[in-house]
Amino acid sequence: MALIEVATLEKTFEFDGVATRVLKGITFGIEKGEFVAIMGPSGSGKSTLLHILGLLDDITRGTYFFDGQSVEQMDELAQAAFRNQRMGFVFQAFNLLSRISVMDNVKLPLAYSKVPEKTWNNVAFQSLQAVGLEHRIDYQPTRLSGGERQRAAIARALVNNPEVIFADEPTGNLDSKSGEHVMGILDGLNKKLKHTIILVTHDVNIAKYAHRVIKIKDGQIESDKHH
Amino acid sequence: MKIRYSVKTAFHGLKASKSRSLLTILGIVIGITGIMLIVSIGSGAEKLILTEIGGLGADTIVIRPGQEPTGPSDIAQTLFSDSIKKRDLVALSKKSNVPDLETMAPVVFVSGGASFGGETYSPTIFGWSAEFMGNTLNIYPEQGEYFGDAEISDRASVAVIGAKVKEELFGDVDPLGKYITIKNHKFRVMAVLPKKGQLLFFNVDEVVIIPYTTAQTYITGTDYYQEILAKARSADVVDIAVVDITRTLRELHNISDPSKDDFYVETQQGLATQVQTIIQVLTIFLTSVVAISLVVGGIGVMNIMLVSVSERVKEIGLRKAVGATKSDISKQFLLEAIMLTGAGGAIGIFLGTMLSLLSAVVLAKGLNLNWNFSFPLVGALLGFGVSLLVGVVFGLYPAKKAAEKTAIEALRYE
Ligand SMILES: Nc1ncnc2c1ncn2[C@@H]1O[C@H](COP(=O)(O)OP(=O)(O)OP(=O)(O)O)[C@@H](O)[C@H]1O
Ligand SMILES: [Mg+2]
Repeated sequence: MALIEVATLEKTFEFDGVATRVLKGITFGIEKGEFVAIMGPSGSGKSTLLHILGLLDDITRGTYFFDGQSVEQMDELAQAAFRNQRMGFVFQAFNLLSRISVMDNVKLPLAYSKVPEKTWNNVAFQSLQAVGLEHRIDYQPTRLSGGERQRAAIARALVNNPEVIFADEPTGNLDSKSGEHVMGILDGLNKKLKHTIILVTHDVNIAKYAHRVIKIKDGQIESDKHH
Repeated sequence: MKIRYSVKTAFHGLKASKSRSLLTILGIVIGITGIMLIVSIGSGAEKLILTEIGGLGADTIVIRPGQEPTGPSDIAQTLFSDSIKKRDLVALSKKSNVPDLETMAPVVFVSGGASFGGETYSPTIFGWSAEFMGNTLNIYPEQGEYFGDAEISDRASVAVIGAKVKEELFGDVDPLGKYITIKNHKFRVMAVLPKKGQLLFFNVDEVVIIPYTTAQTYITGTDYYQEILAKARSADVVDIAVVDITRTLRELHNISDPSKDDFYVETQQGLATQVQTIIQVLTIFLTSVVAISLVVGGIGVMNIMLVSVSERVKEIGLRKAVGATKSDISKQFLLEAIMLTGAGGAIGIFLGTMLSLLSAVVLAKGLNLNWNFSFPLVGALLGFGVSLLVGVVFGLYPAKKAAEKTAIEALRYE
């Protein structure tokens, strides 16, 4: 069985009594170590799919197995532990806490893990080194450039050494140079450290880093190609 | 999640909006300060009154003329009742009537000034027995000797004076053997009392005591007493003595209907219980008034916690995204609420201690009361416990609300 297996996955949002069907039956599997790009027009349901895969949102219908375990059958605690230990999420909007330092932001997932507190500084520092931000640990996120902020967010996603990193348009808010820097880091994580990477993007140049592109249109898979 | 980290996080959360946090806990601070003050002043007053009553001793019995006063307006009738006279004193002294009494001394109130040389002063003047006063209150003369039964039966013109009286009338002159004038009658000063301040119903320093027989004969011209103070053999036989006294006086006054009694008997025990009850009722009443301010303060805390939750929805979403559970999130906000009210409680305890210390100093120095400050430990523990409880009660709802959104709902929140 693949690391990630979804079948006939559906998602419907209810808002003010109006139901919007966003995902209309999605089936695919992703193996350990893959680098997958999810592409498609705006509003096609890419972010929704990634949130479901990252256990940030729930499924309306269909099945999702992560490493052989049925996600629907996990309780809230088990899902939180999966998000904490086995998955890392990188958002387009960074989502760093502006009140606390870069270092403390990176430590955040450690706070909800079983990692002993006295090692947090070390672990977080290594993570920041991996994205080349070791000289910015005491900065507030508001003093960082966009590219630096996204690298801090990647360091945070990496800190518990998860198997999968989900990234929703990680370069969407960045200029092309910082975008390439960020992609270089993700590429290295995949090639050297064998992290599975699932990335949503509009940009064909970004998609080139991936070995496989799943195209979504109107809540369904349009194509799924390896290269 | 680790408790140390949780506390640190909650602390950072509160520090981020310092002035708001301070304003929020003001209600709690005021409430806890109030509790501390009430408990401290209440127990101080209780102690003061009880030691003053205790100064008379549990074996002391007071017999007064007239009907037992039920309100302040009845006190006047006691002063002018003439039902307790020498024959009552004689009857009560008989061992066959009241076997358990040891000593007795009537009190006659005298009004008027005292003078020496060119100096005049208005002391509190009692026709009494200086010996009896000294023995019951455990006050021993600073100078000279007390007068006793011999001077009383001789109607001797002698006086014992308080420290302030000495200072006002004599200054640096030695008063022993000198004569002071009260209502044109001269009294030889036999003794000077030590400085004691307010004790019981009078200020020892401002008193002049003369034999009650002398007072009646040369000054008031009356034949009745304002009260008789008696000492039982021990505190255990006070109740029996009271029964005997009552029976003796009723027989003497030909009273068969107790509601027609023209005298009443007081013991210190009854008084002490009454005082304790009144103070406890007052303390409970005032504390419940203050409790309302704590509820109001708690609602303020809840309000601010709700604001804080909605301001930090994104933070909540992010924490969930990186692995926080619902209970991690509610614990964090609950902890913030408890730290908020706990800090309020701590500040309140500090302020309450300072204010009760201050009021103790004012009461002791300003009003010359024998007031002792003691740290209101019960008030402090109660106040701190209550403030933590307020945090839990009023923090629970915001904390639950913080946890209920899914990670992505929270992250999308604008
Ligand atoms: N909470 C929600 N309630 C209602 N509708 C929603 C909700 N979240 C997403 N949608 C709808 O689902 C559809 C897909 O949204 P999604 O964010 O997945 O698109 P996307 O493919 O990521 O688009 P983009 O490329 O612009 O980011 C949209 O039409 C959006 O309006
Ligand atoms: Mg999107």
